[in-house]
Amino acid sequence: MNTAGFEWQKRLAPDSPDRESALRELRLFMLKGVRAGLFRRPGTDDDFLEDVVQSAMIRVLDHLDRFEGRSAFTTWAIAIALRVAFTELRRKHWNNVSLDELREKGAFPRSEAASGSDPHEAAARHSLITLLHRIIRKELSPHQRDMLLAELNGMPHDEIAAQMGLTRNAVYKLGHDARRALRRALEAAGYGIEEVRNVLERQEG
Amino acid sequence: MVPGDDQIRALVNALSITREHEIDCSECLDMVAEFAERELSNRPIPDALETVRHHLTRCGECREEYEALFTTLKRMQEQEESEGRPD
Repeated sequence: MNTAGFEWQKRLAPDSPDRESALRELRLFMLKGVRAGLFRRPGTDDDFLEDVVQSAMIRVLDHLDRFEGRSAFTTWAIAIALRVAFTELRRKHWNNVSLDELREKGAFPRSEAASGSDPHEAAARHSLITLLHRIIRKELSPHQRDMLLAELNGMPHDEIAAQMGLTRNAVYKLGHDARRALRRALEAAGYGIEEVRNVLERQEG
Repeated sequence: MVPGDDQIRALVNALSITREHEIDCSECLDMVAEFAERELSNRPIPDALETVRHHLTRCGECREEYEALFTTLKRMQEQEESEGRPD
């Protein structure tokens, strides 16, 4: 238990006589922390860092009661600041790509059998991919399909969340439910995950 | 939705590490500071924090944030050590 962390909580409380000085110290500490964590990363000039720390301070103060003393308070606060920073960096990076575009593109090129592969292995692979295609269509909701599609195209959860009007947690849960559903459906069709790997790798190897 | 080779591989990898119960990104944020401090000081990771390790394997965004946090802590530790070291 990190008891020094609870001192921060007391000093930052709205009725604390020491609040202003605690806020100043925390701001400087967070600024130093995010600067070190984002060192030489494009788009992270001083203005960006100041904005991040400003937003992160508000979030830290709103969530003071969630600090449980299992780490240093400053580590906890810097973790929050880094989440704010990366969320903003990803938003800037992905703001020209929409889920609609990915959906309209039909998403993915169809996987073709490698030339010269064993016909039995190629058939096994084809049948597995057809099954995968079918269960994605049948077992997943449109939201889950969109989420999976975006994720497989590298879109971060923050951006998927923003475009779907959900929270990042809700997007994670959507993906988790989709993965569980796919895994169960594959197992129900007689494919354990290792068997799936084997069928795919036999041809690739 | 017809996955290509890379997507199939990514999907199968994701399915292979899927657990019935996983923590979400907020729960990860609540615990990641303790996880990072333990990793930095090579202290054992208790079972409750293994869920963080799993989440970091699965969630690219939380992993990226964790790596930056770890870098920050490491740099600050090195700085403290060099400042505290007698000339």
